[in-house]
Amino acid sequence: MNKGGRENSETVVEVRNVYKGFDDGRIQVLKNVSVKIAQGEVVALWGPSGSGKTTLLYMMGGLDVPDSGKIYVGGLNPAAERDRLALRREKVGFVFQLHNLIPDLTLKENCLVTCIATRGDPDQYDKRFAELAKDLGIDHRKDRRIQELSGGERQRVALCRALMHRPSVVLADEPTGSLDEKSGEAVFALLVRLARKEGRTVVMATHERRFADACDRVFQVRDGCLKEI
Amino acid sequence: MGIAFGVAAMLTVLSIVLGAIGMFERILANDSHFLVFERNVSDLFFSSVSESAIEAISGMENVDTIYPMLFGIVSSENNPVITCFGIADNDPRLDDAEWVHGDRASFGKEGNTVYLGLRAAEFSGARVGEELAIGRKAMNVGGILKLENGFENGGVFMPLALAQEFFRKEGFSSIAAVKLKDLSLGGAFKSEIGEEFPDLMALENDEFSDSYSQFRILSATAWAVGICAFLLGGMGVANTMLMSVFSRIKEIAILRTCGFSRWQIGTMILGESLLLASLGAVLGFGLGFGALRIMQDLPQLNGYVKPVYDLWILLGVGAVAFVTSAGGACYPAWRATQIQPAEALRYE
Repeated sequence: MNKGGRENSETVVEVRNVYKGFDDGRIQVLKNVSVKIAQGEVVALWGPSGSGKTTLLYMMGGLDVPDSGKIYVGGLNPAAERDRLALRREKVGFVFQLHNLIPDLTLKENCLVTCIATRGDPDQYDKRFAELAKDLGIDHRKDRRIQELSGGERQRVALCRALMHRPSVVLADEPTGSLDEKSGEAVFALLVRLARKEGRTVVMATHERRFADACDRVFQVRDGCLKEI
Repeated sequence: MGIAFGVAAMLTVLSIVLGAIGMFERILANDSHFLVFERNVSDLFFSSVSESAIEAISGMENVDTIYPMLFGIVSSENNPVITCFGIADNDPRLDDAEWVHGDRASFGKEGNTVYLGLRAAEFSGARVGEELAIGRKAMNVGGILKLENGFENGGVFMPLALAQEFFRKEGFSSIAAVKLKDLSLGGAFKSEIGEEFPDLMALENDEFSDSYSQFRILSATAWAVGICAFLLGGMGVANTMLMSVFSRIKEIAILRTCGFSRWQIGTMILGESLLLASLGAVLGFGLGFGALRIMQDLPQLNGYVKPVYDLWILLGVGAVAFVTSAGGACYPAWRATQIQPAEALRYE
């Protein structure tokens, strides 16, 4: 049984024999990668920079497509154009290393971007924002522009944006990578706490072993292969 | 700014040209219903309507009054090109004008005497009672008239007989403006002119304005100049929006990861472009109206610029601004839809 105690939960992410290369295949990043991740699990993809962690995350989120093999996230195939939009709108939320917020918008506006994309009910999204912003400790800064926020606050905004539309899976690419130790720990703790509270799956790429060890399962990405450790 | 200049240019050119056409139409119309002129002439300056024809037309049953007019271009001191109007003593514009100097009743009574529009008097510096060189002749100035029409105000008026002699067109006028007793019988009048005088034709004033090639050329040129200005504006929009897309590649990629569809990204760029264009159009209308106001008030142009502020012109300029902006934004919008989020986020 994993640390989250969800051994028998439904599989929400399935990667089957995936290959991915760049530069016309001269650089093979992922080779025959397969993995199944259950609903509610917090999983780390651990490895050095350039090992293919981000590429695998991007393919799970439909930002990139495999050269061969299959990926299913919440029953959708991210490689298929018709599934990709639904996947991003409903099934996955992204957290990036460099927060990737829109600097001209306020904290709250950044979080409501998904509402605009999905044409969701603004009242519902307002309530959801209030709830998450309070949990993340950023509600008092909601009208501030991104430039006015610290690195840790920005990453919490990114986390808030990723969770706004209640995705099944949060794909976090080095979410602590640009933060100091204390802020990194705080953001990681919030990510895991909120995911567990709402039963969301987290797939996190990280090169820091201490964060990987705090996850339910750890997969080492090395030489293009995935190995559970 | 491209759209602003396009709107300003088109508004200014169209208003001036259509205003000029309107002034010329009013010169020709002269309190009448029909214009009679020589068939198949490229310009009314070359038209000749004989006195015998005018006499015969005036004798037609349905004809109330007929006003012959001879146009010519003359030169005077300080001005190499001045329009000359040879008109009959009973011409209504003499009654409508404000006689600044001289006496209405004297028109045509004294030989070798011309009458100046107020603007023509100003730029020639001539005064009543003095001699003024008109072409190679010296003529007396018998009066100065202030007329509502800018072209007329800048012209020289001669009694018809004097104008015919001066331009060596004895016995001829350029046109005849005809007022009918019963306008509903205008069709019959036209037919009668065609039958009786095969070298002449009669057109109702509006009909003439619509068909006169010079007006159509002027109007088409004005629209063409305006549209060319807009094409430059459209390129400006395309350039601006393309720069905007390139500088916001990462932002667009983020929006795509947050669930924006290609369509939403494209319409966002188009919307921004139309918003910018709308602001540009407002600025352009301001610039255009301002420029026209200044031109109207400039002493050097006084009277010659009489802009027309027609609703259709404003709507037309607005529509061209909208289409140009949308057209200019299409390529940037398409480029924005083609941004690959993974590449943009990986390499930015």
